[in-house]
Amino acid sequence: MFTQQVLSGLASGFIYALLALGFAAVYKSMRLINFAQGELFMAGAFIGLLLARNLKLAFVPVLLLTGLLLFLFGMLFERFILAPASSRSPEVHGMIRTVGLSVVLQGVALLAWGTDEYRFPQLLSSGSFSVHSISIPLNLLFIGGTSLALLAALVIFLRYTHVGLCMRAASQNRLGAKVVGINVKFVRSLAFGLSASLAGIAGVLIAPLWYVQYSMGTMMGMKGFTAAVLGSLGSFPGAVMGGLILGVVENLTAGYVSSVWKDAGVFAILIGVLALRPQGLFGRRYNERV
Amino acid sequence: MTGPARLALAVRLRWLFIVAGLIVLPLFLQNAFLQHVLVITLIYLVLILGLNIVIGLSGQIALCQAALYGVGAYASAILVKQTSLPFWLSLPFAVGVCAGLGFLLSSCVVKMRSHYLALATIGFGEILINVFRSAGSLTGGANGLAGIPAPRLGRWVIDSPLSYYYLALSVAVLGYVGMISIRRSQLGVALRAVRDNEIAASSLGVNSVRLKVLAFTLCAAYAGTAGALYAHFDGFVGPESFSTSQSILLFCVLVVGGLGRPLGSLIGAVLFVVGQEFFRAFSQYQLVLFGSTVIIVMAFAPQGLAGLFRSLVLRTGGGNIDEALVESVTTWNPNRAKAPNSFAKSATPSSLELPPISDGPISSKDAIVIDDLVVRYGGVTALDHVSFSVKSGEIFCLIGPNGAGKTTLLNTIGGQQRPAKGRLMMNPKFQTGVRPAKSVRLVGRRSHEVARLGLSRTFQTSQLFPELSSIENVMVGQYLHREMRTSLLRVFFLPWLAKRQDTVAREEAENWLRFTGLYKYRFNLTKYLPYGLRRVLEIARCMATKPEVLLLDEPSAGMSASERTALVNLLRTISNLGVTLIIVAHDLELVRILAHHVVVLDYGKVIFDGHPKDLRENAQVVDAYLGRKRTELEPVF
Repeated sequence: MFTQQVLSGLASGFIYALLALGFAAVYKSMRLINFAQGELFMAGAFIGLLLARNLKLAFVPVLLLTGLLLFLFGMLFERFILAPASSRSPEVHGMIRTVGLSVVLQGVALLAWGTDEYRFPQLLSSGSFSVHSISIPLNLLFIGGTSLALLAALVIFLRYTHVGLCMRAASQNRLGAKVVGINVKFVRSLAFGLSASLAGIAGVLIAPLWYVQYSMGTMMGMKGFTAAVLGSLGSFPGAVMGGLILGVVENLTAGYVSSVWKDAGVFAILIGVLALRPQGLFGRRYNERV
Repeated sequence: MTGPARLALAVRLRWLFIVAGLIVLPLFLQNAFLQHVLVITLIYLVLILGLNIVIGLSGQIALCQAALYGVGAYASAILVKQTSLPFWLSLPFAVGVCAGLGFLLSSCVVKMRSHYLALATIGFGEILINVFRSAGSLTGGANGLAGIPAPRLGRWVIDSPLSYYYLALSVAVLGYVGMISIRRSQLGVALRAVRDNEIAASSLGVNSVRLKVLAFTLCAAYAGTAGALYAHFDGFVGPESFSTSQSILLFCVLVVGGLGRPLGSLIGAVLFVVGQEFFRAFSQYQLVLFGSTVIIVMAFAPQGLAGLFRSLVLRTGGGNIDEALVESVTTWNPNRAKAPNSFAKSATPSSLELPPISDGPISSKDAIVIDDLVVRYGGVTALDHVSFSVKSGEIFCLIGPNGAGKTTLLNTIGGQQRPAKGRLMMNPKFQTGVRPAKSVRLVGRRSHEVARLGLSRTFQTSQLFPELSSIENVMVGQYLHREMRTSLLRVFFLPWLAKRQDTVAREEAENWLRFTGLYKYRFNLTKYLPYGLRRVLEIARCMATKPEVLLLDEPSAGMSASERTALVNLLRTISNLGVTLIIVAHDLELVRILAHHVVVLDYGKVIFDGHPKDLRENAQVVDAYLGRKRTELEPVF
């Protein structure tokens, strides 16, 4: 029972982890909280739905195409809407623009699809195999595998490629990066595009397990953010750990306490953690310099 | 009366006209729906005013306003339904419950930085909504509570939209005037200072934690008021109206309206209610409209519509109505603020004629005693068993090459850095309301406590409050004097007394600006001041705390020769007032003309402690500055 609970917690945990990775990527390179992450996730699910249903594509192409489309959308949004904000108090103004984006995306989805729930075509085998009487759904393996692969790709990209180096440099000192010839504008668009595409991929991954609906992103965005903060905002491995912990804790609360208190439990833990360790579970404490 | 005079009178009496207009407004709207919309707008005005205090004034992004609003509504409704007490008791009850909850939450989350705070408040809101849904016996669960009685006054039941309008109007006016009054008062200035730069505000004796909790609690109290008003107007409360997305929408409309300005709350409330009530038929377009409005307004008027309105009014020739307007003239046209050649020209009134240094009021008593101080950053020892003392009233200079630990020492004295070991004592000379008679330990005190003991400091890079005018920057320095502070009671219920007190505070701040020669820049936002003036304004701000010891970190850095001369004059004047000066300097010339006493630090150790004229003969000092040892031992190239 316990192991089973933990396992199914891991499945949603990996989805939170993907969203948290998106938050971390944007925060790390732009010092911005992307409040539209949850809605981009929802958009990914709907785009995936269109591609799978109307174009009858297989799962992997759906995944890649959705990722690509959202990547382009993210780049454009950053370039034309967010970038003009960045000259004056970028944190607050940028954040508000992403709030605007999230509301618009939700509104568009509502106009296009209404409040109905849509079933996503089962493109993957929904079977499971069992080890010692614990059944492990294949979905979980696929979701977990994809998330970990994306995490590895992100870490390698940022740490070992030239563009990645530029991104890290631009995030730490914009002016300094500009002076040495880094195209900071492009780098920021790239970061936002990457994070949007992560959210979209997460949307497609979870869609076969859930129903697709216009409001599915709101809570997911908050949970993804929670996961990112739990693991210390801006750290990629931390984001994944935060996501997994969140998923497991949530499922255990639902299993052993009551599913009514599932969300409340998560947020209570969050406030507790933040009050005791404001730098996140895995973050290092740092002194603000005078 | 001439035309302009009549206009000026009209401007002075503008509030009277506005309130009179609001009183007769519903009489022209015989339509019950429109009257209903008016009441709802007023209720949301109260709610968004609260949000504006916490976000706009104290800079804490709190995203649980709708949930707190719900707490107010439920608290009042439950109390009235369970005990049938009148509305006039359940309203304060709801306000109290909300303020208490806000206080508790804020005490837990106050130390978090912005994003974390936003998230924690979202989490808190979610928990509250969960409680509304699940505590069925009290809140009615998902069905909500219906049949909440309307308030009654004697035999008169306030249940028509028209009568409720006047109830809501009086509450809203109180809330609105309260916010204007807070924003203008010493308290509001301190709040905005904490928002702009918490470290600098604490260094001036402002207890930032207390103020942030206060702002949050106030915001919750506003939310509670609005909630109770709503519950008894609508007669029904259900969990759906208090969701996190509502909180985020409230935040959006406030930002569109204009953060930090009471008018911004009004605009926000109108937008919110118009969006909800009039576009109900097109509810599916509502979200798209809201979202795109936010994005568009942010792109063209990042200060919000209230900020845009102010600047438009000014452009069409509203004239200099009051100080706040002058303030926004300079906000809008930064380039019109003319840069001076030097602050000294306007600055030297006869009081600045200087006596020779030897007449300095040095006493034999120690003001600061530093004993065996050690500070480490990781493995690096920044201060290595440093001991010396500073006499009361002297001009003390701390010099040393880069990385010698000068700023670290200053930060340790000022309470911004904790030492690993050692003692730091201060002997207050004057005993005042905030200062003890005996010598006190400085280690382990927080920086606002250190400031209250009479120790004030400037920073190496200027740490002014950029969005505050010069005079308001100085007012932050006065905050630690109790007689300058206004109580909340006055702010809300006796605003004219608060205003009078505020005038006194402003006059005193003006004196400090005259003292430093910055008077004519009093209304300039400090982000538009040139560099040299900023440094001087920092000194003026410290002087407003009436310090006994003033710590200055590289005061002459980046100054022109004439600015430096004026600075020397200013520092001597301050010294003659009996203030002990501790100056970290790079500039040996400044040390030569000013100092009574010099300590040289090198790699965290004291290598010289004595009179400045002995400096040149000291071989160790010469080595440290000219680096002879190094060139002999290891050639650099």
